[in-house]
Amino acid sequence: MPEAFLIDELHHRCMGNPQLVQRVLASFRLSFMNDLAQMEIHFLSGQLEKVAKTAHKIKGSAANAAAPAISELAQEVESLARQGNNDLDQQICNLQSEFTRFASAAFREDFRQSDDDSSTGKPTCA
Amino acid sequence: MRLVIVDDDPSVLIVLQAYLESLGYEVAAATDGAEAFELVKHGDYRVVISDWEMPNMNGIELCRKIRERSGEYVYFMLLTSREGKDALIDGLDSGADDFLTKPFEPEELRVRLRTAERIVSLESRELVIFSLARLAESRDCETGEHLERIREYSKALAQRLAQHGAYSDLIDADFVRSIYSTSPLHDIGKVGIPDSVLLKPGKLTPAEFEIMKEHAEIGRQTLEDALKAHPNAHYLREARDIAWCHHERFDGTGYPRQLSGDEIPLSARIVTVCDVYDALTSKRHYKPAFTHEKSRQIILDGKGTHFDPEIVDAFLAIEEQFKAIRKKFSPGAMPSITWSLNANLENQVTVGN
Ligand SMILES: [Fe+2]
Repeated sequence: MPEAFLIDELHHRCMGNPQLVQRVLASFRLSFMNDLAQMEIHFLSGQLEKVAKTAHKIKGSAANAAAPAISELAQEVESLARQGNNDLDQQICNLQSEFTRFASAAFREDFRQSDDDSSTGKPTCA
Repeated sequence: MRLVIVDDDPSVLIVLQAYLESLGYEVAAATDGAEAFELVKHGDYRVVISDWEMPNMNGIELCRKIRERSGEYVYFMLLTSREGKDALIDGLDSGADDFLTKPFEPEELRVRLRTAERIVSLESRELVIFSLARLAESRDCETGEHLERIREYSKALAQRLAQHGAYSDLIDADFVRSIYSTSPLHDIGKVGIPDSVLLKPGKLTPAEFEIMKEHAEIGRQTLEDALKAHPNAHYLREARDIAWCHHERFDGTGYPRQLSGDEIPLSARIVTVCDVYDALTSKRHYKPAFTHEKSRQIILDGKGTHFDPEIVDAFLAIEEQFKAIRKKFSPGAMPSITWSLNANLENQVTVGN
């Protein structure tokens, strides 16, 4: 199973800038939610071509956000959809749970980052 | 340098933009191809980094539309999560210059952008040189497509010399490229010649001819100043040599310094033959345009005196190319009244010989 989240890779791409990491993660979260919803709609209406396109988009943004597990799964969905495979329920469901795995890892990084920033002495989270 | 990035995924744009700005680039971001095309159309952007799959206009269509425009070259990089040889071939087929896979690796992107910058600046350099030369020539209504012909002749001769004869070791691809871009500057010093001499309709007096001859020194001075400001711009050194020495003669009776033989830089010796051939085959107020055969004979007569014999041999070997270039870059309609321009040539070739 590929890693859910490669924090070092994203940090490197963001030149070690924690604010930038946060912005990328927030933006990815938003676009992923949106893309996944779109994908479900396309899937339910039987538009496999559009499912493949959306999966391709997720593949790219997940790779950018250092989320290899999501990216690989999305690639799988893309190629299955291109082959006309209707049996994608499970994969789409897996995408959802992979995202949960990713989010908890990324959130943990969020918290760790907040801890680092709390040198002012004031705790930012309970 | 200014560049456009385009991706329908904002999280990609965020990280890409931040990275590129940290490298000192000025970045404009677009979320689809149509928006990116508007940016390229209205702004001075020389590099585009584009996603492949996008709504409205995808990266391939964007690239094609950019290539259809005239004007400065835009370096186009595809950044995509498509993989495999087929995707690469499709991408490059569409006219893209480079192909990167997502997620981008910062160090790799930085290196690839350096290549982009080099190519784009080569392109701008050509344009700057040529427009400078054009400016110098603009007072000179007689010359038509003289500059285009000079650089084509020079390139053809250099290519021939690279393959045959005594100079083949001295000439490489860089030399050929360089003479092609700098030979149009040979007469840049004419900017400093007064209208009364440069545009005089009629034969120059000896005093006027002395003034005319100064264009070689003025050209040297102009380009040397530019060279001082940009010491790494090697092409300026070559341009200076050509401007300074293209009226020297192989036997040491030319001007401004009476250099002879290989004291005269090779690039200048090449341009001399091209410049004289072009003057001979062009109409002047004091002479009609000579035929290729007549001009060829005059060049041959100057072998070893006016011209480097090696270069005359190369000229003879590719004379068909000279004819073809002459034909290709002939002005459709030359004015029937022309002014005395290459008066130096009048004295040196037509009259002197
Ligand atoms: Fe000249």
